[in-house]
Amino acid sequence: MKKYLKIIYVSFIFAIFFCFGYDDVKAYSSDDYININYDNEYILETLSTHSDFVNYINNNVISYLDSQPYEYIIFLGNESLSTDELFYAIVQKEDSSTNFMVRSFFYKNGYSNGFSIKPNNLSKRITVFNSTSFNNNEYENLNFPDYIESIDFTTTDTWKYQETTVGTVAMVNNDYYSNLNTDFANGYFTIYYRTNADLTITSSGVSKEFVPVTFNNSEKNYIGDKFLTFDDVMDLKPNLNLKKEFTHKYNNNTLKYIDLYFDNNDYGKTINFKLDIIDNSDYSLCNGTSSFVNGQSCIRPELIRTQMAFLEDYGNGLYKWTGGITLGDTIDYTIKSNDNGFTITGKINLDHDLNLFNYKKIRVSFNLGSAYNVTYSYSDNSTITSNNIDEYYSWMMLLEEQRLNRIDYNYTKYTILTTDYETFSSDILVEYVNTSKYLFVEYFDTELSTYLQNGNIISTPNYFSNRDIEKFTINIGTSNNRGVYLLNHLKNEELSTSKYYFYIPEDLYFSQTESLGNSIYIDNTGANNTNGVIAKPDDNYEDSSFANDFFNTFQNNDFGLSAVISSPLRFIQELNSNTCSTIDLTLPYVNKSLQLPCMTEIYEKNFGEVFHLYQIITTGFVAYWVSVRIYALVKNFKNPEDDKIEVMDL
Amino acid sequence: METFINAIITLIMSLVKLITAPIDLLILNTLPDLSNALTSFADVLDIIGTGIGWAISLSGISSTAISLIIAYYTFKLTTPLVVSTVKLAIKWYNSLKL
Repeated sequence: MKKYLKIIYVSFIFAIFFCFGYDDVKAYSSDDYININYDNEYILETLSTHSDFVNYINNNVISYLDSQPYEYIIFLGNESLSTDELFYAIVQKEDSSTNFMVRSFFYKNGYSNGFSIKPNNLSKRITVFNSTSFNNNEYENLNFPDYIESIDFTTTDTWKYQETTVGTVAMVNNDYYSNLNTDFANGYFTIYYRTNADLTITSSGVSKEFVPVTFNNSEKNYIGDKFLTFDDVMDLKPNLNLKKEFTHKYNNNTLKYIDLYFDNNDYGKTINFKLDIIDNSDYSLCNGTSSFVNGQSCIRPELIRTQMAFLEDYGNGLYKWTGGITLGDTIDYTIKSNDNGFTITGKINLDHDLNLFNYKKIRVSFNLGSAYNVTYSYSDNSTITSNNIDEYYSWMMLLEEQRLNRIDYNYTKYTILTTDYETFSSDILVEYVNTSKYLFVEYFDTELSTYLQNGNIISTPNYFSNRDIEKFTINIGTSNNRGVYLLNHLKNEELSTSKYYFYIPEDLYFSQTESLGNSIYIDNTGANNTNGVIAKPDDNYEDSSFANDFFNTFQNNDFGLSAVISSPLRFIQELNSNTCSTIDLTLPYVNKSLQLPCMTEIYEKNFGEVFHLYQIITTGFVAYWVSVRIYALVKNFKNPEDDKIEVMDL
Repeated sequence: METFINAIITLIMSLVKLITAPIDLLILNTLPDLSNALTSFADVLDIIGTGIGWAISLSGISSTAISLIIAYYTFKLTTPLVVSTVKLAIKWYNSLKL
């Protein structure tokens, strides 16, 4: 019990320190704390001293809270009291015991205490007291130090309080360094710590009679205190967990954004992250003037900007990413280039604004400009895991404003949706005005600009009718080279006022609505498709006017029998136009990238004349073989009984 | 030369499609699984084709030899169709004449 009394005692001191120390920081009203969805709120009597508080907690609160959930906010005093007499406290029950820890205090209208209001994040907090201005006796007597700094060792905070600041975190070789800057930096500091993370803290520059102290994992989940001294540097090393690895290969689309997602549980934190970007492009062919050589981008990726967006609940199951604001003070990063890419390390502060609690999720986007062939991986200490990271990509929701307007009647029209995101799942709303016709969603290949009409891509077309408003989901993205056609058919008898309104996310690009008769979209053969896009037959379709369109809507047949028969020709066509380009392979299991370079240059470099001699000889053999075969072919033409047409052979 | 060969191949592929279109459509609507299987087979060849440039580079064969091979196969796969078409036209003409 003595141990916990001490814990409560120390925590109480924190609160009092805060109350006196932060007059220049934003004040929070009591409502801020009441509205954070904690069910257990207790109005207690006024306690004028620290001892009173400790006794009250032990005698009246803990026994009751023993049967309650894990965390609590305790209000000391009541609304009628003057602000100087009112305290809030966050109390936590230990996992496997009936013991409680007072994790933080808040002073009503007593200014920011430096903590965010998210109690979960307080568990990894270390508070540093500048002990040059107080000692144990003083805080036993509730005399407070003049200088105090709060450090969250999930990251490191950067709030500045009077003369004492904690410097920006820098990461070198996965170790975090931070400076404690104060006029008393070479004095004594007591570190009160509590952590449930795998956290190792060491100090350097230790002087005087104290030795460096390491807080190791065995001490986690306890509040303790270490008395040490150091000059001005502490080494901090929080754990970063790998969240995502992804390889984007050249497909005419740049990987525009790398997105980091954060959940509610990350609010109040400062997130440390490390983003490794490997540039897989081969720039050896680039002459410095061309943007592209042999389908290979010659523009190197770079970090253009960082943006933050918030997912807002619009009700009725609709969400919207808002913001898209450029990150200023919220992010602090450094870029270190290496031979084949660069590494971005830094931190993202999610602890500066209680308004964040109005949002569902946070997205931080890194715009890499022209990243065509890149592999990236990123690690951070957020609550998102490598297992659930992808589900956050589906939180791409709707815009309020209308993005498409399809007015014309008497035509079948379409529009094309594409995106820069590697994977993209989104809801789309369609509103029908004065029309009862139908909408089809068809997929196409963004890389080859070909229409994916095969049923194995999408088994049945999305199909809507006779509804005022429909909502459907599309799944596209650069990682699978899929775009989407939104295709509608309007009856002849439709009114001229017939319209379709589409509501699509801002992350989608869309073409202007086109009449199919004017389509310039190319089919698999590379020929212009002037017939428009085939509408996938639908068994449920009951409109008789469509039943006669069996051949009318026929457009191309690069599938089935034709595909097989014409494969050799396409192969020759490919052979005729193809030039060598480096092949990138990702080896399974080890997830390593293997590059197969073009060999001709290597042969010429290493074998010289021998290689040329080899080419002359092989060309001679080939020429002889071709001559003989052509002679045989021509000879066969003279045979009137020979009707064999080889190109038609399977 | 390259443009000429491409033009011929495109022409022949169009002719092939003209002949097989009704069969393809029937297969698509009556035996969709078979249609998918056939398409998948063709897709495999297409995938192989994407790496052909590198394979040629690996073999070290000169571009002249490659052009000869392409020209031969173009001739082999296209000329018989033209000859056959001419023969067919002559047969029709003879039939009509009678």
